[in-house]
Amino acid sequence: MYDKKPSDEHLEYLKRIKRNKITTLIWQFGILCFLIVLWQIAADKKWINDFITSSPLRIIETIINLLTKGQLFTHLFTTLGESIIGFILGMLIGTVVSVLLWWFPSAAKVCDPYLVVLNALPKIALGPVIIIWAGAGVKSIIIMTLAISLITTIIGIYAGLKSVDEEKLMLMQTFKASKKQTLFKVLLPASYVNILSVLKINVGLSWVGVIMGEFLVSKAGLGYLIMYGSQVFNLDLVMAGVIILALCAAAMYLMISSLEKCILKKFGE
Amino acid sequence: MKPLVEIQNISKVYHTVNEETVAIEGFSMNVYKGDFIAIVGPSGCGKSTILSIIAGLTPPTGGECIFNGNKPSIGYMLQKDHLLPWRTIFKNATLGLEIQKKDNEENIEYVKELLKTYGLEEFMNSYPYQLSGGMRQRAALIRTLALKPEILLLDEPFSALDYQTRLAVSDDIGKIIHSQNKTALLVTHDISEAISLADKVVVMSKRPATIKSIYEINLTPHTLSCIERRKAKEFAGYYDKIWKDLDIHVR
Ligand SMILES: Nc1ncnc2c1ncn2[C@@H]1O[C@H](COP(=O)(O)OP(=O)(O)OP(=O)(O)O)[C@@H](O)[C@H]1O
Ligand SMILES: [Mg+2]
Repeated sequence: MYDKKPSDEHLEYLKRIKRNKITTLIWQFGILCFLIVLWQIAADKKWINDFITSSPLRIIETIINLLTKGQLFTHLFTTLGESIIGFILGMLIGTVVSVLLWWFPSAAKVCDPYLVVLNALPKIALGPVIIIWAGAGVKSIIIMTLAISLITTIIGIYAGLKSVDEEKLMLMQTFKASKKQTLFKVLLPASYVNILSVLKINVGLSWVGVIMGEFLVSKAGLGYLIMYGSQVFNLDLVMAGVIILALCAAAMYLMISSLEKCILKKFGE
Repeated sequence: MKPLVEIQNISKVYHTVNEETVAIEGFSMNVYKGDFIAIVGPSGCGKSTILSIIAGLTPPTGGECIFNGNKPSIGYMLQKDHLLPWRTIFKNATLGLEIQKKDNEENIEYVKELLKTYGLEEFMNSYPYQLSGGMRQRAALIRTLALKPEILLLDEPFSALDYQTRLAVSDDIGKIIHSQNKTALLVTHDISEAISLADKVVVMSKRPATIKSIYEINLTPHTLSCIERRKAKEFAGYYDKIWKDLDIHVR
């Protein structure tokens, strides 16, 4: 666009932005380090009871231990697999159901109170029922995940479909487009921003569902690790589990949000 | 000559839970081939409703629209361009063809031709956000023209544009429509726009809308450029009469 050289002022401005960013990063990282070190010192000096708080060094030790014994990856991949399956199933079923609701508006009206109640219900209450119905296994964990994420997904995507500009639908009508064409050429693409944000929320919810499920049943997984650790009062194990979980969830979230950025950039929004 | 469309005694009542609105009452008009008719009227009087009825998007409550001969194909252009942001300009322009499965080589060539003629060739592969408002509106017109409609319905197609762009684009679009010898119905709030573009101006009354008056526009230097037409000596006269008919009061 402009091939002339940017002015000094502009360069100064860019530099300032960059400096700002770096300062923020330093602070963010600094606070983290400070807290970790403080935790370690407090544990060493017995300011806190490290039997129930564990300590950074012991957590690292535990993680390394888990790594060398090869258990870490079993647990990690179990949980990761479950949450990815739950996430994808949730998105697929959720999208299909919301499309059906859009397709049959009277059905949507009939379903409305059910959705509201199901959405308000704390899904964890369904845990025991799910275990009895689906057995104490991976199936229950996936169903728990779906129970937690599905209703939000349906409500979110359906709201997105409904919020597409009335006039865009009229434009399709002037071309005599069929319902299916309207759906695929306008509605679904037009709600990509919305679907992406539902996707982001769902990543978090799937983790909640999987961990909840693993707390209730399961013989492997990070949720199991945490639960087991707490039962034998091994807080090192509990903390290690929590930290690995946090890292995984963050990684998955980052993946989705960079996908989002990529797509939004393409259409200039 | 038989009119292309005979609009006979149309009425339209909208129902909502709280009230019923009589939008149109006893509206009749003939549209001949090659006509460029502008419809002006106070806000909310039912202008858009008339266009939707002609387009067959909403059925009238009473009366009918008679199409003589084969039902002509109708193109409808809305106030906003409604270009789909995830499609390139070219893909947007061919949207109607794609939907009606008419995207054969001949029609695609025709769209490319139109894009070229109206200065959008180098933006074919750009996305809508990269274009100015005027260019987007032209792209929307090309999307409508791609289906080779015999009748064009334009619902305040320029009102989303700023004044300068609006003049330029209405000049452009007026020329395009005239040169393609299309039949067009244009709804607008802007009296000068109506006089400068159309050869017939229909003034509507407040709701329920009926026709208040019809003016045949004859401007002396006969030209298609609506910027030139604004300079004609009869222009002010028409403007005055229409303004009086509209009878707009600021309360
Ligand atoms: N779907 C609808 N349901 C109920 N009332 C409607 C509907 N569409 C339009 N109306 C009412 O009918 C009247 C005429 O509407 P219309 O959109 O045709 O007016 P218009 O002349 O195009 O207005 P504007 O100048 O604001 O574009 C308005 O009072 C409007 O509120
Ligand atoms: Mg209108």
